[in-house]
Amino acid sequence: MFKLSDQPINPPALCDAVRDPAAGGFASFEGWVRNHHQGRKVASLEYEAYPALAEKEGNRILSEIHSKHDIIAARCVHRTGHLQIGEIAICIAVAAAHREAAFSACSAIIDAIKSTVPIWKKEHYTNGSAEWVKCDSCSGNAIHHQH
Amino acid sequence: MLGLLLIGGKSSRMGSDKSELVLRDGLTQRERGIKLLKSVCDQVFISTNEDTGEPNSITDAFGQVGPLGAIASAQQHDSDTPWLVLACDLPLLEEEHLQSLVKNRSDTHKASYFASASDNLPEPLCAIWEPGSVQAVRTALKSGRKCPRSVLIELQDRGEGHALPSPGLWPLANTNTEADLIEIRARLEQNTSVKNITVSYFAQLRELTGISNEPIKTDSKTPAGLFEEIRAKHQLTCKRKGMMVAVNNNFTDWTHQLTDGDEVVFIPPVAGG
Repeated sequence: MFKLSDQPINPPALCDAVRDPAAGGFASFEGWVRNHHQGRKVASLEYEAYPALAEKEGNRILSEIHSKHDIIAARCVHRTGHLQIGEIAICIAVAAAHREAAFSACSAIIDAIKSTVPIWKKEHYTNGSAEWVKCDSCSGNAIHHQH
Repeated sequence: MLGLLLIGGKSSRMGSDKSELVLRDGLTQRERGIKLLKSVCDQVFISTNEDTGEPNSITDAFGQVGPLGAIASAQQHDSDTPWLVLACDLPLLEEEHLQSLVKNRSDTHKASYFASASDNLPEPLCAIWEPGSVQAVRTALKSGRKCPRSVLIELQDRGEGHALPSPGLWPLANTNTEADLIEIRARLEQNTSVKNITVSYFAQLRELTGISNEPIKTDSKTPAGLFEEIRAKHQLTCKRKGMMVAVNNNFTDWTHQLTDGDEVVFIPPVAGG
């Protein structure tokens, strides 16, 4: 199950949610708010989602990965709102009978989420400026670009 | 005034098949482009990638560098006469638009062009490039640039470009994608109907438009046409390329047929995780 949350993520709860007597392996991934990006000093991150489609697409990804990897359960929570350095932006928990499937499914989930789930992040820099990540062309910064 | 029709080539320009498309008057886009240019120019040339031996054609002299190279090649052919440069894939462009461009041209500027309806930037491929622009074009090419629009922006920033008010969204709409073709065909056939759509905005689009959602009355067939209307309304510089679109909370493609009551969300590159 994929969920958005505007409250701090509690990883042990996610771990408990996938716990299963048949599971011999557990893998998790946490994405943390980092204080730098591409050489710029980051002060905080703001996440915004298109909730209806983000949850739908997140769940589609979890089902797809579940069907392709030999796992028992997978959960994911993604934060929204304004996060400070060190906070958890995303947490993925995967339980499987064996470790290989747990590791590979966990990695595949985060890759897929980053590429299609409609969630955006705005980086606030220590110098007071802020920018939406991956959207140069929307901000007008790229008007004078060269093809 | 000389006319230069960009018919595109196999590679970088508009794709060879575009010029052969027949969308109106029983003419190919190429034939129609020539006809439009002849209505306002003394002589019309076709720009080609490779030497085809055709009369009144100008072969790219600066390599395969797209429209800017074509403009430079025309200016090399004749550097004393203004060139009206026209892309062939503008099916909704009318003679009156070219007449207005010619009539309102300023020969004391280095180029005269329409402002884009959507982002207000110069439209380079329905524009008059005066002899005074030769150096700017050459300099840009020499430094490896390929974008004619960037040259006009540069001229405009220096006060050397003459911008005319946009003729509207559709006259300068091109046939780049399947969705563009659907929109253009619908307008040519006058087969459009008004739909009430709700558009919601998130993240950067919410900030740029200043709203979270809005009702829109549109006669566009597809989210692509609707997006062009939204760009014009909010003067957005972002392009469809690289974006996704959702209708009624499902991803769909740009050719999706909109119906009354649809909820549409435009999705810029995502950045979760």
